[in-house]
Amino acid sequence: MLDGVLAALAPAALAFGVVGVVVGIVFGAIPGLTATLAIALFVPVTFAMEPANGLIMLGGIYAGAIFGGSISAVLINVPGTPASIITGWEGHAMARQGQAPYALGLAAVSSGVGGLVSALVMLFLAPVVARLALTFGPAEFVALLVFSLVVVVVMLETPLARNLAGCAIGLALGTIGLDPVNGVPRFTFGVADLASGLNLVAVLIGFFCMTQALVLAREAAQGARRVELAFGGVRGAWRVLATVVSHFRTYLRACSVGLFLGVMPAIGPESTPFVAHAVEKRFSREPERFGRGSPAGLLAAEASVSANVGGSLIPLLSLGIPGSGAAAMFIGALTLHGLRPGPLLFTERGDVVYAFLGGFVVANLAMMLIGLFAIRYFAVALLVPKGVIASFVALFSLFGAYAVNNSLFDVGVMFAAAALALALRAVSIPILPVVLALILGGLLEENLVVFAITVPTLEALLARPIAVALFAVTALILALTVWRRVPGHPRFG
Amino acid sequence: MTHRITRRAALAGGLAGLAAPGLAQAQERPPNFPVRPIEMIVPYPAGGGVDITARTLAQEAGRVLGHEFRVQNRVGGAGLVGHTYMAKSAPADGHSVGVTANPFFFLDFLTREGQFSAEDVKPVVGINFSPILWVSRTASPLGRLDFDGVIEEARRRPGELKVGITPNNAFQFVTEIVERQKGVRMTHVPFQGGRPGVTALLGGNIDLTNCFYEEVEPQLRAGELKALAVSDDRRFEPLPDVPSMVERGVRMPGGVWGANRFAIVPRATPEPIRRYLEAGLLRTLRDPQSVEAFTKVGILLRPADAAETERVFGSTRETLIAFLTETGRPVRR
Repeated sequence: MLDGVLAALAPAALAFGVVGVVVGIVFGAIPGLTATLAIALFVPVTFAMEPANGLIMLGGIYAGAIFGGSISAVLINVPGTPASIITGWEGHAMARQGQAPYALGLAAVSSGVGGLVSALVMLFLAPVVARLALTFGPAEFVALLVFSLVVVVVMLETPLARNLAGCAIGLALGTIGLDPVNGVPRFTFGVADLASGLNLVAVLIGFFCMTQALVLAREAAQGARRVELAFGGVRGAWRVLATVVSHFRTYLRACSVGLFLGVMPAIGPESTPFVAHAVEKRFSREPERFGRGSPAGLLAAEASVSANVGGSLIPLLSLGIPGSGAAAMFIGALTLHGLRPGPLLFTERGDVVYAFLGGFVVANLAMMLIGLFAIRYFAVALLVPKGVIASFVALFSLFGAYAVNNSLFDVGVMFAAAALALALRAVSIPILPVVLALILGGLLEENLVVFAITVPTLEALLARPIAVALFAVTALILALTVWRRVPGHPRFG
Repeated sequence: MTHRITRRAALAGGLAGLAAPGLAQAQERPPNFPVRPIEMIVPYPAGGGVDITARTLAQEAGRVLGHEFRVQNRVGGAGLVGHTYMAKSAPADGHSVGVTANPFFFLDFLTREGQFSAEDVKPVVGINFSPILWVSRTASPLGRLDFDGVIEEARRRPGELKVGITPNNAFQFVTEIVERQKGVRMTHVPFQGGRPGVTALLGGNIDLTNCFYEEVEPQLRAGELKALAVSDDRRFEPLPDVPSMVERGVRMPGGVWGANRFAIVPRATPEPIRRYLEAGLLRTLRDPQSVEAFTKVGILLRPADAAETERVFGSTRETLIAFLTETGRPVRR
């Protein structure tokens, strides 16, 4: 193990790791260019490299891209990747209060912390944690997905009925495409492009980026005032560091949520910050600040996403089961380098695996340094006139929606999603439950089907304590919320 | 219906046969080709079996032929989007070469919404064949049994064994073929591909699953999973101890029920260009260094020229239509 980790400290490996992080940040910051796409594009580039160096670079890209999305999210409320929606919500609120450099620094350092924790868990606990992925069968999955949906729906401050309506809309949109039971097309109206369902990234670009371009354009037209920026020099770095240290418990919770959801097969980083943010709000002493620029909310979102990245690689490396879409890309990358992710990888090619893990640690350390000393200056982007930013965001929304699958159809999906988002805003239905339900809907349905077949009776369900416990907690949260929110009781939130 | 298609397939095979002698000579590179990198269109996500095949082929063909090949994933509808693109809208100038697999390509228009048919494309080369594997978990009660033992168990407990399939697709069809011929019934558990089924099997949530060798090679080697049989008329080279289903008394044609990977071009692609690609890719697939590169990523080549691939297309189509009709499924075109 030590040899491998030391190999990651060789100059070439270090350089590839840092290059990966920077490439990833650039990809992440542009809407539509996701972590998965960045990895897919760079796999061929790694052919010419040593396997370990190539993988270190890909790991850096993965970690960097997941964070990169937060830069545009904080600065102009345009999430660069689906995983940075919550960061945009919380971080942009801070930016509006003139705290953009601080918010960026916090986001980057938190991302580094989350990644570092997940890297350490990978290094020392991978085989143990990986088994967790297998104890989660369809019953536990259904329970977990329902829990995720419920916890977010009840923690949002908007009226419960509207949150539920949003959730229902998201689930309905998720039913478009091939039906997971019979494999026949559903709600596709004979359009081949709809057979795979709505492209999630295109929809999210429509929801968050295109609409935000309109918002920015309106602000520009109304002649918005210039922003004052306080970078704070070295003291800015100290302030970030102090906040990070004082939120030790937040990190603990967020990293646990992120790691756990990351280890779960097929649950990607997109839904993780929703859950971590909602959980953190439950624990927070000042829940009323959540959604209005709460540092704790931002930390939780960022740290959980990064922890999810490492978490998703754990079952991949030790069992051959990818924990997310981007992790599935690693199967291809590893295979093309002649490595087979699976139970024997650690024993057969420990040298490469440990070098990769060491590289992943380095990449996340690099991210923390960037966060402490460099990222604040990205806030100068705010000095660019809003009209210019709005045009660029609109342009990148078009380009990004096309780039996901080289499909003009997805550009249409993006525009339709933007129109839907505006319509929902007009009738005051919050967009976040729609998004979460859309992300998790397909997965929920797939697992519900298998759940119904493999756990046919109530007794069979009672034999699965984890699932039962999760269902019970969900029911309890729901009951508590309904009780507290009925008129006559103090409003919860 | 079946009859007419058989004749057409036979005719196609015959015509392709006539063209074959031309191949014996080295193909001249057509003038003005290629003028830009050749795109290898993959209708499946990066990292999957077809994608890895295409990426290795692109890399090796680039080395052997001396011009650039690039892989482009056109993903959607479990292959439907990429297949439709290759058949209907890809430029027919030889710069778009589709890499995909049967029976999935044909099933897209035979049973699903694909608005195209086999006549819209022409084969370039056959690349390899990977049969479907039936696997069980070694540590489960079923883990001691071989293929016949599992069938016996399924007969003893009708409908109780849970088998992972992909709905309305090859995994389910192979399962149905075995069930019908052996007179047993199992519960089909639908998954969106081989890997999720393998995950469920490893977690003990199902009893056996259908998958491809590439998806379980590490688990087989580690002894966590056990291969019961392969869906072919012969054994699969990397698994010499695993019987073929035909050997175990299941009637099925060889080389159909699995992933039969090949390269195609849009029908209107000029013949000299198609032949140049055919000769070039065949040369690549037979190049010792390329064979080694494919072996490294776990792919066992079974190169075939266009005529042979066209012939396999015909028999695949015939087999699929016969099966779909027999099981009462509508055949769309």
